[in-house]
Amino acid sequence: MKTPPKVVRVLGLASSLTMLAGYVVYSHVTPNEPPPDLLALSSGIGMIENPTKPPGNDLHIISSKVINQPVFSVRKVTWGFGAGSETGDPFKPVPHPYRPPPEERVGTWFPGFEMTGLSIDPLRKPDKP
Amino acid sequence: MTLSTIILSTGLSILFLVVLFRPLEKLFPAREAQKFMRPAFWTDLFFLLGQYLLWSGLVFWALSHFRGWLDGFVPQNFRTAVAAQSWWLQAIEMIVLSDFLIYWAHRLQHKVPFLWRFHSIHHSAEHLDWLAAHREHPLDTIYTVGLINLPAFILGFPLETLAGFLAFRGLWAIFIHSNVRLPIGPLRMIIGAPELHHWHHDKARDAGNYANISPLMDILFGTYRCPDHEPEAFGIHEPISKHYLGQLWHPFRRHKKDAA
Repeated sequence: MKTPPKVVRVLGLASSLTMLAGYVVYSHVTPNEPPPDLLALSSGIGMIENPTKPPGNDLHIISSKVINQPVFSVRKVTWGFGAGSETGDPFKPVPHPYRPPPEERVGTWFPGFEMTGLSIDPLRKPDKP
Repeated sequence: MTLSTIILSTGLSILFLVVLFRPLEKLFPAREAQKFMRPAFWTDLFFLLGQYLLWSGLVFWALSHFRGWLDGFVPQNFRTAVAAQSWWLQAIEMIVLSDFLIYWAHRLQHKVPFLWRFHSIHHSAEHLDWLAAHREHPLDTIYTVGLINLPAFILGFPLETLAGFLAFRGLWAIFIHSNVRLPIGPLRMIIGAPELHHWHHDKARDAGNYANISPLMDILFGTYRCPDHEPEAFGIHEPISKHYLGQLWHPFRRHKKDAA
């Protein structure tokens, strides 16, 4: 079999990588619909629910290969930068379980650090302009 | 989701997969003689349609029960503490834990006759490509996907921060089955490559390459294999139906001798 020219191979690879990147970004920002329940499993059999479970964490990886439902969510998926990212607001401080909130800290100051460059849990309040 | 939406979404997904993988299979073929409409094409297409139209609902139903059952065992404070970590740290923890679990669970699928009954369906494919990746018994899928979800269920990782990564991983899981030989150099040690997974499907095999995507666990536990050529043949030695329904029923048939 004749090998395609190198330029065709490079273009083919580039287009596939572009589609892959596009799919990943699209999947990250687009909430999934619930999976089809054509077997009517959830209508007749009660789900086991824990009333104390945290809201907004009802996500399941349905299948590694069903690409229109990589992650199922019962709520809107939001962009998240910080821990938990429940709000999707990258500037909202997230309480740390072992640290007191900023207003309760006295005489301490350390620069906040976050991989994205956003300080989401600074130990001091931002200076007013 | 209406039936027409489900069908449209499934059709668009198939179209996307063809457009994404078919050029790669034409430009960088692992087996040049293999055609698009190769033997067992329709069987694998039925497996794909089954996953999209029927079994994803079953998997979700099973996961919901599994999660509800686990919720009773894990203290909420523990989950809150885990979820308060930086997202990248959670991502690393979830990926490493999932890969570790999947690696050992996959080895069990090859060693335990009962699990092999279900997993052998996936290995019965004699032609590997993007479509053959979907040949999985639904109960085998529940087993695998349950384990992928387990760290998130127990530790409370918020998966929305990982949605993009999980999507990538899903597509990569299809890619490693595709009829592509595209040496990606040292990158294959991190994210895996078709050349590695093809050897996992080798018919005359002592399997190896059990890791889900990244072969790091295989390297760590000594099951990494990467010869510089393609395997002679794919499939399994034991007799198995060539048809979709026959393969779905296969694990429940009386087996004279279980062998993995």
